[in-house]
Amino acid sequence: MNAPQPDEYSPMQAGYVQLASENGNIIELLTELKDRTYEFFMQLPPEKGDYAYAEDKWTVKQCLNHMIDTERILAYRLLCFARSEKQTMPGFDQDTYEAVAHSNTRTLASLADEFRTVRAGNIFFINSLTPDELVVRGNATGYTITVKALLYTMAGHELHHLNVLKERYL
Amino acid sequence: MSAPLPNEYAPLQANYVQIASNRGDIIKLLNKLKDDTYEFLTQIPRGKASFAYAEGKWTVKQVISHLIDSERIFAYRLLCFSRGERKELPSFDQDQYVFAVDAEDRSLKNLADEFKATREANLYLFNNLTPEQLTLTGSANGYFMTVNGLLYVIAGHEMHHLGILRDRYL
Repeated sequence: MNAPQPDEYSPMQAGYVQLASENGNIIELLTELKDRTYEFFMQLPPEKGDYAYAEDKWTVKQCLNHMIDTERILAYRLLCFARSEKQTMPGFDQDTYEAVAHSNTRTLASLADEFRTVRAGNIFFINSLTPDELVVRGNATGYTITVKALLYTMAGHELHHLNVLKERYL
Repeated sequence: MSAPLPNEYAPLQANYVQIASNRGDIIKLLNKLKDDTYEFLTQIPRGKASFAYAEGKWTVKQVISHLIDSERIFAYRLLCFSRGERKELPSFDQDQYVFAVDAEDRSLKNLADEFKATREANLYLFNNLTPEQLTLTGSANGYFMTVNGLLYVIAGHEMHHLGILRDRYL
């Protein structure tokens, strides 16, 4: 499967698609990231979970919880678009979501387990996608995007946050 | 946590809430159903997989596909409501979604595995809800509901379909 064309996603997702495009087969990448991301968080000292690099920034736990929320929301859009949904899918305000989520009361290990388990559930769905479904377009927050480009967004968003964590938190 | 009041779910969901009520703690019930449903689905004789009890009715595999789609969509709504989302969330046309998939291409076992993996992922979400989050309200498909009401709908919808499979398919 080739990387999606620019008309398959919105300009604000271009960075994510780019990141995921450098890594070979997208379904293999999403499958491999399930364990790689899990291990990344499990290798951190547990107390690092509460660290933020500046006062108004998310903690490591909050970043991970944001990755889980995003995984669930993008998987929902994937499902709807693959089923030829024509309604516009709502956006979500990531800061509002994180403010309500009480992520800092959870352990890093519990959140890492959750991420891996949510991705494992989604891998079933991703593996069931047919070539016809990959090219279906849907509308999320006012932009059209193909199912395939959503897969790249899913992986790229994850890689982006892992990069930020490595660069600014460790 | 007690069964939701009638203003906590849509009128057309009253039957689901009823089915899931008086069965003890709703979170425990959803945990238990993960394995009960999996065992029920994997014990269906393979010869029954493509059976429908009348013309125009879903096959067993299509019912399971609908259970998986519903599990993802309900969990998406639950996530958003539990994060304080105020936007109206989309409906979905269950027949359009079921008929968009070629469920016959998949084995009963693979569909049952996906259901279980999806529920397992969603249990992290359900098990981590705080008492405050249970009372949050949101709107989907034109109806207001509480997070607590939605938990009962998820369990009741599942039990409703298992009941039909038992009574009319097997």
